[in-house]
Formats: sequence, C-alpha cells, structure tokens
Amino acid sequence: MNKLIEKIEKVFKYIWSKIILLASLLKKGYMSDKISIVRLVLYYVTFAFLIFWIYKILDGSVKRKWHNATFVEKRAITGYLFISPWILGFIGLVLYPFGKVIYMSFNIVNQYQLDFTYKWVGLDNFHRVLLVDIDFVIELQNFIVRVLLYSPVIIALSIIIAMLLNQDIRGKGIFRMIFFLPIIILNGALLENMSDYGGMDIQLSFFVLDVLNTVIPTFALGLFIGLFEILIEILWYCGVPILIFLAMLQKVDKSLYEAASIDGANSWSIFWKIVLPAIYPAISVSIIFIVVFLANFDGNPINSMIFIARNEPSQKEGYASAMALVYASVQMVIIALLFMLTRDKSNKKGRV
Amino acid sequence: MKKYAEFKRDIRNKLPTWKKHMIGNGNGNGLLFKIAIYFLSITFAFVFVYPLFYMFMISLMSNTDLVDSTILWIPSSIYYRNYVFAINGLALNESYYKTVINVLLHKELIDATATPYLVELRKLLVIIGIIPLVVLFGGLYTENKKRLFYVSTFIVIIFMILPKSYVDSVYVAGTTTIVTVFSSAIIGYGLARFKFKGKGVIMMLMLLVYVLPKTLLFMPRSMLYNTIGIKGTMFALWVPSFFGQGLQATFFILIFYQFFKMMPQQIEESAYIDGANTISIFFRIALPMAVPAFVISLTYGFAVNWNEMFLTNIYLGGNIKTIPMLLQGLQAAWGSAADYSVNSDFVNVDFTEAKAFAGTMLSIMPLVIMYGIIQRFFIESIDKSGITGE
Repeated sequence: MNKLIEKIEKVFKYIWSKIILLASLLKKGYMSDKISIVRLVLYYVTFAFLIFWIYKILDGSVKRKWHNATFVEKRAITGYLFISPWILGFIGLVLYPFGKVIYMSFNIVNQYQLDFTYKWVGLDNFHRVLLVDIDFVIELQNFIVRVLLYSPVIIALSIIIAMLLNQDIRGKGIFRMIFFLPIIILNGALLENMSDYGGMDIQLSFFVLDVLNTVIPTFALGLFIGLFEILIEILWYCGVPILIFLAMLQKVDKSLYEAASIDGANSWSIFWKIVLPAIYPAISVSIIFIVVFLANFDGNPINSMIFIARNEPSQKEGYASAMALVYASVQMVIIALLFMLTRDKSNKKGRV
Repeated sequence: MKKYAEFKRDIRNKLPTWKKHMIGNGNGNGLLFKIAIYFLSITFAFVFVYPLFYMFMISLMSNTDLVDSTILWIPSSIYYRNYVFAINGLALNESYYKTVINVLLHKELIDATATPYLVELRKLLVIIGIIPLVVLFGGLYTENKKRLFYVSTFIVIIFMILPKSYVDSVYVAGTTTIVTVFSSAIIGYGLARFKFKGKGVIMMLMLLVYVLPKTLLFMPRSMLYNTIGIKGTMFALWVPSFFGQGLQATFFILIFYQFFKMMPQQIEESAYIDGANTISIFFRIALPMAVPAFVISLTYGFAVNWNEMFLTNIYLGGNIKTIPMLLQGLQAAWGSAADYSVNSDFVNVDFTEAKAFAGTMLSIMPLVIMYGIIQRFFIESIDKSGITGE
C-alpha cells in the first residue's frame, strides 16, 4: 500500500515538475525587474490563445459526436458541463487532499525549503495524539460537550425567536434587522475581544442574586449564572437557524390556523399540532448547520491547536493531519447521531 | 347598597367584553398576549444588541474612567483618542489612492519583494476592471449603458477614497464571494434543470463536503497551491471558489438548486423553441429570475468571507491583511500605533479594553453600513425564496 502511494506520488510529482518548469519559464519574464501591465496582459493573452488552440484541435471530433447525439443525451451532456466545475473541484481539491491527509497522518513530514520528505511511522501519530499528549483529547471532549449542550438550546431559542418574528407586530423590520445582525458581523476576533474584556456576559445585580439565593439552592444558582454568561454567545449563534425556521413558518398556510381555531383549538395546541410538525424538517437541517458552524468557527480552540501543531518542529504536518482526521471523524459521528435523532420519521404522511 | 348592586351588575355585564379584550378568544389576539409578545421581542432584541452597546460606551471612556468604580455606562467625558489609536492600529489612516500612486510611480515604496507588488497591481486592475465588467454584464439586462458606466465609475472613485485596509478587505471578500456565487449559480442550475445519471450521488457528496471541517484539508491544499505557485496570491482563494469548494459553497448551491427547481420550466422551453441556446437561456432568462437567491447568497457570502481569518491568513500568506486579522493583532500593534503625544497623562496610553473595543467598532462598521443598506432586499428575498436546504 505504502509503495503504491509512493508511486502515485512520484507520477504526480513528475507531472507537477513539468508544469512548474513551464510556469517558472513564464514567470521569469514577468517576475523580473521590468514588470509592467503590458507583460501581464501578454501573459493572459497567451493563456487564452492556448485554450483557443486546444479548442480548435478538439473541435472536429466533438462536433461530430454532438451531432450524432439524441436530445436527451444532449441535455445530459449539457448538465454534466454545467456541474463540471464542481466535479473537477471535488477530485482536485477534496479527494486528492483527503488521500494526502490520510497518507501524511501515517508519516513524519519534514520540509526542507520547498521539498517535503515523508518517513513512514505507522500509527505513531495517532498514538501520540490520543494517548500521549493530553491537550487535544480534553479539547475534543469540551467540543463534544459544547455541541451537545449548545445545539438544543440554539434550536429552542431560534424557534421561539422565529415564532416572535412571524407574529404581526409593529416594528417588525427593526426586530428582524437586529436578530439577523449577528449573521453579518460575527467573527472570531470580535468574539475573542468581547469575551476577553467582558462585553459578553450580562452581570446580574447582587440584589437579584440574593433574592434568588433564598428561593433556589446555591448549585442551581451557579448554573443560572453560568447560563447568563453564555447566553449572548448562544443567541448570537442563532442567526441562520432563525432564518431557516422563519422561512419554514411563512410557508404554512394561514387558513390552517383559522380552521383549527374554528374547531376549538387554542394557540398552545395549534403550536404542537400544526406549527411544530410544519417546521420539524428544518430542525435536522439546522442541527447540521450549527454543528458545522461551531466546528469551523475561528473561536474554536481545536482549529488554532491544529494550526500551531503544523508549525511545531516536533509535530509538523503528520501530527496535525492525524489530529484533523480524529477531529473530522468525531464531528461526523456527532452529526450522524444528531441527524438520526432529529430526522423526520413521520414518512411525510401526517405532514402539513 | 343600591349603588354597590348597580356596580356589581355593571361589572358582570361588562366583564365578558373586558375579558375578551384582554385575553382574546384563545388564539393570541388579546391585549395580554400582545404585551407578552412585545415584551419578549424587546427583551431578546436588547440581549442581542447589549454587547454592541456596551462596547460602544466603553470605547468612549478614557483609562481613568475605566478604573473609576462610580462610572458604569456613561463616560465622564467623551474620549476620542481610543479611536485615533484604533485608526492607526487597523491601518485606516491612509486612503487607497496613495497606494495606487505608489503602484504606478514609486513601486519601490510598496515592498522589497515582488509578490506584494504583483498582488497590489492585480488589485488595481480588478478594481478598475469593475467599469468594463459592469457595463458588459449589465448590458445584457438593460439598455441604459451610460448609467451603468456612471454608477461603476462612482464605485471606483469611492474605492479610491476609502482607507486602504477597508479596500483590501472588500477586495478579498467581494471578489471571492462573486466567484463563489457565480459558480454556485451555474452548478445549481445544472443540478436543477438537467437529467443525468449520478445526480443523487453528487448531491450526497456535496453534503459530505459541506460537513467536512476546514482544518482537515487546509494542509494538503496549501501544499498544492504552493506547488502550482498560486499561494500568496488571490488565486489561492479564487480557484477553489470557482470549482465549488469555497466557503459555504454547498449552502449557496442548494439555495440556487431550490430556487431554479421552483421556477416554471415553460418559459425556458418557449425560449428554446424561439431558438435560444442553453447559455443564452441561462444568462438571459434563468439568472434575472434568480435575483432573490443572488441577494441572499451575495450578502451572506460577503459576510462569511469577510469574517474568515483562518483560511485567508494561510492561503494569502500574509500578503494581504484584512480587517479581522488586523483586529486580532491590534494589541501586538500597540507599540507602533500608540500615541504618546497625549499631553502629560501617560495613563491613557496603555492598551485597555477601551482601545480594543474602539477597534472592534471600527472593524464592524463597514458591514453594519452595508447591512443597513441591503437589509430590506435581504429580508424580502428570504420571503420570496424557499431556503430550507435539504
């Protein structure tokens, strides 16, 4: 297996070395001192001419085949042409890198200037990630707990806010603008700044805490304060789920509510019998979105851990790719689990 | 006693209407329900904007105000020097046209190495290229080319006046978003309109790619870009975007897929009978009908690409620094950006949360302005299009 991968690597390296040679020949002209717009334009014109030339060569045979095809075949070919960018991208930018990540995770990768050398070590990297170095496992546990705790709260809050926005109230535009603002402005640096310097937690006044302490026990109060510390962070993650739920709610026919109320249903049973079944399919979609968002967010410590491990002399790319693989598989398992739990099991029979 | 009986009777007569007024007929049209709705909405809205409001108030305080325990929200006097520091730290103090002059006349001022010079040159070409692009593409949809020309020239002039780091961020986020959305429209159209084998497999693979974390593939990808020679240039962002692997690309593809699925096919069939080929049907009929999908994906994609630091930092290799990256390094930039000319009170020079928050406010300002302009169309588009994914 190892040798096979090495052979494939070799073939790939050979092809790339030819391409690099060509590129460097072209580059020498335009990386030199006398850089000008004219040269840049000439470079692009050459490229366009090359493409035109290839087209000219292929033209005859392609045209003949095109004329012999039936209408259905023609439509299918056109469809493949339309999605061809994605297929190319999938092969070149997902499949090949994915294979390389797996290969690198079994190796120690060293870099000397532009050349990478690989030394096969088997499962050693995974052993180090999971059993020797302890930071990553702890962060992984934190991530799992965070996702499992956050996602139900986010779903519940976004359903509530979507229901509020769906009501017929004054100043709807302003409310919508406020609730969708975090989608636009939320980023890692902003959240880091806010949580570092205390803009993120609403501080309950001591009076309120004292009053609450007489009613509920202290450990429950701790939970309560803890919830308020992360409340804004959770609410700011709600943006896109709110949007998805709102779009689902607006699809529900208004006459259904009227019919139900004529039959004597109050708003509570309308919510459980009509609204919730209508927006239920969106829950699994939102769950996937939330988990992917939480995993890819710049504030996630695992991301920076992998980034640091990549540049660490004792770890490098091999160790970092082992980390990334473990992380990805954990995330896939979480998503699969949550998706199975929230899947629409009604078989589209009782759906409105 | 007689009066009391009258009062009692009155109450008994009026109670049902009063009760109906307050509670309604159980379907949420009573006054109490309305009050509860408004109360909840306002509370949630307050919690949403609380951090922004807090940051804004803190950013107006001097350091002496920050340590004063009697001052919680309102500063004793408005202290604008935090913003002076933030403008220096985020490199907002220089307009873009100065860089243009340096590119055209004194290129030795840009940098010693060749790559940032090339990056700057390409940026200039793209920004000036807005004019012909808008005129050519807009010419497909409107006759009034003169107006298109004026509008695009106006945009270019605004770019010239804006601070350099804003232009950098808009350039990085804007071009990448446009490439991503355009390729998503093509791919979504292909999936929605044509019948071919393996469509279900492709949709499944798309969802799988969406689920993969970005930390998984960035190492081999950046090695690949290094061997091709596009790492450190904008092509490292444009190439994956064009091939449908940009940020959130699957999301946009699904939005376009859903939208084109909803559109009636008869219009395109009649155009086909009239002799239009597939490309002109796509550009002249399908795209103009998908305006809401474009508004949603352009707005959201711009925000996502603007806020992305991790991948942009790695792929661009630090050749272009966007606003979020500068914000992250704001504290580190303190040494060079600190303003010692504050007369006699050196307490206020130190880096505190007031300065960090001033930087944060300046960094989100362009996005908030853009959102303020576009939000009405954004929300309208959400109403028009059925974005539910799946």
